Amino acid sequence: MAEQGPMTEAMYYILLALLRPGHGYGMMQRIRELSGGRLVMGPGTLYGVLSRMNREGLIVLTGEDGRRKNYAITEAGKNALLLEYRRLKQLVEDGAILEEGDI
Amino acid sequence: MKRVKYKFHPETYELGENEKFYSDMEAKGWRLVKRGGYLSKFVPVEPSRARYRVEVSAPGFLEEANMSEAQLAVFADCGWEYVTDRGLLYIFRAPEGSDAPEFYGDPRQQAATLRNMRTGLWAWLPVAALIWAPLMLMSLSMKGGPSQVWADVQKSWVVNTAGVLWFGVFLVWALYHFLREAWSVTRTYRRLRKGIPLDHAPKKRRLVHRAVNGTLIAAEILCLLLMGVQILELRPRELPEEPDGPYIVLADLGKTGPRTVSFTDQESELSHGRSLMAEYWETAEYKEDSTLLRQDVYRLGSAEKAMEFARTLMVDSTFGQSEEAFEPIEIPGLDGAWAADRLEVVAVKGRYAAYITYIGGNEWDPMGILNAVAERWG
Repeated sequence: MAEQGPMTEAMYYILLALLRPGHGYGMMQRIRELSGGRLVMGPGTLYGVLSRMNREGLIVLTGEDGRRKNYAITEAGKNALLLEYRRLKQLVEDGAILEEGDI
Repeated sequence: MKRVKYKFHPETYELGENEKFYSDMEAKGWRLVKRGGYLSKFVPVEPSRARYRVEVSAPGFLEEANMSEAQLAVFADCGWEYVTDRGLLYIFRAPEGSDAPEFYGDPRQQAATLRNMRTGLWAWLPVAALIWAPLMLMSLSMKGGPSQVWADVQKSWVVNTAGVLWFGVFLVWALYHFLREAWSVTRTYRRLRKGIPLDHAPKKRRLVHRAVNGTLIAAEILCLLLMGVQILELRPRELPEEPDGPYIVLADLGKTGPRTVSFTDQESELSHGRSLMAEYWETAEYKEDSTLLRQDVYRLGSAEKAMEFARTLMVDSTFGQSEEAFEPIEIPGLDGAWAADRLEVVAVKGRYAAYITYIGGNEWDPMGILNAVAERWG
């Protein structure tokens, strides 16, 4: 697996969506739900990121349903997602001072 | 009503221009069904507004070039109908007003698809070097050196001006397209990397390109037509017993015996042609006593050009292969005359220049040949 740096928004949401295994279109629907409609992921972005994460071992191909391919998150993917979540949480906590005083 | 229509499409690297082109065609009632190398095929439909998008599939070295079925399925699930593909481009369509999302939310992700396309721009260089280097070496070794190769080019310019022009225009055309592609791909890539989305409906900026491209293609067609006319005119015919042009025959040198064929069964022939630079006559004559006379006579645009061309003829000669191999000879009636050590002479008078090879056993009389030429040119 490649050395883990900060994740792109697309990677983060795809891994989140794949906590429930599924195919490309299902992932896009799930990402829209998870982001409250804020993030509409296009097929170009989705497929590019899926290929990359598959190569890096963060997700795995679990089977095919007609032309569609089903993916699931791997243990490495879960760890990476958790690390990123903690990093983001820490960032938000560190930024809490923004709500305390006058800016 | 026409059943299909073919139209020239924008270049592969003009992503936004291609998208707009196909959308505009559909608005006029022509739907894309197939993209070829230069032309796209359309079928008639009710005019409607549709979005077209292109996806670049530029794989890295040893990577799968085609988009997979699964990848196409993801596009289809999103509302993008796969239409056709050609080379690096995959073309998708969605009716206007559909909720099919754009391919990339972040232009930086789309930039990644252009990275390999950008790298690939230079991939032809080592391939071209691998092909050209042996060819150049072979050409140099066959011709004897760079000066012989250059003389060969100069002679081709005089004899086949249209052909050399065609090749020159082709090189300019290829270089123009390469530079334009390099500029366009790099510009698009940098804009996407900066987060500037692709312009899906660029304003017309192709007028200059169309004018340049059209002019170059028209010039190439013109050169090809000229080449065709030249080739048709150059058809060899039997060499007349009595010369009907500014060339000599063996009878002028006192060889009056019957003609025969060469050891390769070639008849005595005359070819008369015309290029943009010169009118020329090429003869080959064989006699039973094993004498052979070959000559190339040129009528150029001016006396200066003829004198300059004489030097090219010496360097390009079959045996002498250099100016130094030819000794100048004073011949009344000629502006310049040179003879090599046996076999070859070069002569100039006014706009005429000639290169003559004579093989006649032990008889080598360059003065006789050059005097015959001077008499013929009067």
